[in-house]
Amino acid sequence: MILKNTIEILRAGIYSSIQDLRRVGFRKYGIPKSGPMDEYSHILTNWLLNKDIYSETIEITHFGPKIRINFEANIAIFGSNCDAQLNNKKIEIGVSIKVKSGDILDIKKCIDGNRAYLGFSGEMKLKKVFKSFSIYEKIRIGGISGKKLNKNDTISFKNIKKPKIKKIPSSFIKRYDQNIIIRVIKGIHFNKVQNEITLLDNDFNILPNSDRMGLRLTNNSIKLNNPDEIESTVVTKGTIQIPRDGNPIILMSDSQSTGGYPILGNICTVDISKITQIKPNKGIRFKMITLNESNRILEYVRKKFKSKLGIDLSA
Amino acid sequence: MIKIVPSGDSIIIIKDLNNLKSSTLTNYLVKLNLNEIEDVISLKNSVGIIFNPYKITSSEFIKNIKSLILDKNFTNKRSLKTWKIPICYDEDFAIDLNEISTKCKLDIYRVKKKHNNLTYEVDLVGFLPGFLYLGNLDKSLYLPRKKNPRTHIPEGSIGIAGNQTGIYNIESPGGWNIIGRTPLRLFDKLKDPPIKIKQGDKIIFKEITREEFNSY
Repeated sequence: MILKNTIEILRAGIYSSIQDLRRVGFRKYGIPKSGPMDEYSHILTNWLLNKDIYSETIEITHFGPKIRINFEANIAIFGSNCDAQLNNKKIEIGVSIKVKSGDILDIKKCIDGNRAYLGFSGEMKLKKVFKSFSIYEKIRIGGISGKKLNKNDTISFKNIKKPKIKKIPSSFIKRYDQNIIIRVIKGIHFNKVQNEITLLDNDFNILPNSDRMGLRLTNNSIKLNNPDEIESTVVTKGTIQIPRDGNPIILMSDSQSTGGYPILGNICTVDISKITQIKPNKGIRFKMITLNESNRILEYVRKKFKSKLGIDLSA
Repeated sequence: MIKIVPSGDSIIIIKDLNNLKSSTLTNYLVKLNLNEIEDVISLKNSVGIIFNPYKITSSEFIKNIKSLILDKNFTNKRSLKTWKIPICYDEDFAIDLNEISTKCKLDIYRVKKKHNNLTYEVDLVGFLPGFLYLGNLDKSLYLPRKKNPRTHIPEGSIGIAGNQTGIYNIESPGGWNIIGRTPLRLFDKLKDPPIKIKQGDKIIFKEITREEFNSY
């Protein structure tokens, strides 16, 4: 039996989860904000479908799902380039696409990055937990019964619209397959770093066991003076912690909000989405910038989103 | 003198609070209901605010917060709540009680007595959903975390690590030395707020028997 206005998960993929940007205000109870790892691509996926930046998408990790769509609507995929097909025909990412009832969407491998975002021009009919659909598996909340997508899951939709076809302008397309510089604002314990020159001149790699809680870096260990003499403080997505072994951990969407490890710095907000897409075999390097520089970058991006796409990031 | 410092472009930390309790300041900041604030996190000696950096720059935000708090006469008037938490030291729950007793060179009776004989203060809610860090542990019970953390600590477990005792309010991996368990469900993901105990509140443990535990 085919249920009207639903999608059916025929294959779940490696780790596909429903995420939105709505879970704000619960970190004081130890509940993370969760939400998309690459917020930039999530926001642009929603833009392609005329949906606000907070709306839900499906976050696809490394290898995606196969889905039967049981309604007429638009869909969009953006983020890492990926091998995606509609009814066995290759489709483009970064553009909205019309689909009809019975269509089979098959998203395979993410090519240059780690994650792609899939959106629909309708609203998922799910129960909000702590204001959000975001899946946080540790306490089984969000999505369908608090779990990542599984084979045979069905998601119902409402308010399905058929907006005009849109395409992401080329100035918003990013590439993730080259070595990358990540801009960092010095943290409250940066003065403890012994080997500042090696830190800035050498590449880090991201370990494959990184997850939605944190990215684990390797290959460029950081030595600190008196690493134990610090007090727990507030941390967030993008905070770079240095545990005892000297290999930095960059906190991500499902991270806690307090930490007792020394803080090397905080990735400037604009660069956080980029680092979530870097594959383990690519080098990344930190560049220290001031808070004022980061504020100028934020302002530039805010204006660019507003003028070119009509998106208000300060909404 | 209260200091406000940025940490990255989306956190500010308010510290050197002197006589002002962080819970009092947190209460005040939450009530302001400022649009740019995502979360106010109360720590033992400081308060951190996570905000949306597209809405305001941290220098402007620090200026605004300064003008709101620096000249204000705070009174730590919030009646601090005291919570009585039943704890059962039965060996099925207190999986590290014997080890704690050996390492701290105290017999089991004394370990229990030292653990439930005083009033704790909630230093922090968080790290894990609903996890409670309690300060003011008796010095004779200070112990490092376990070298090999366990993969499953049951909900309600109460542990010791460093100079704190803590309550696991969800099942999770963990490295604390487990001394007992409470039958109370202090964290409920179906409720908002999911936990009523706040940073700065007081906790008293009350020993219960296995029979009493089972009847909860």
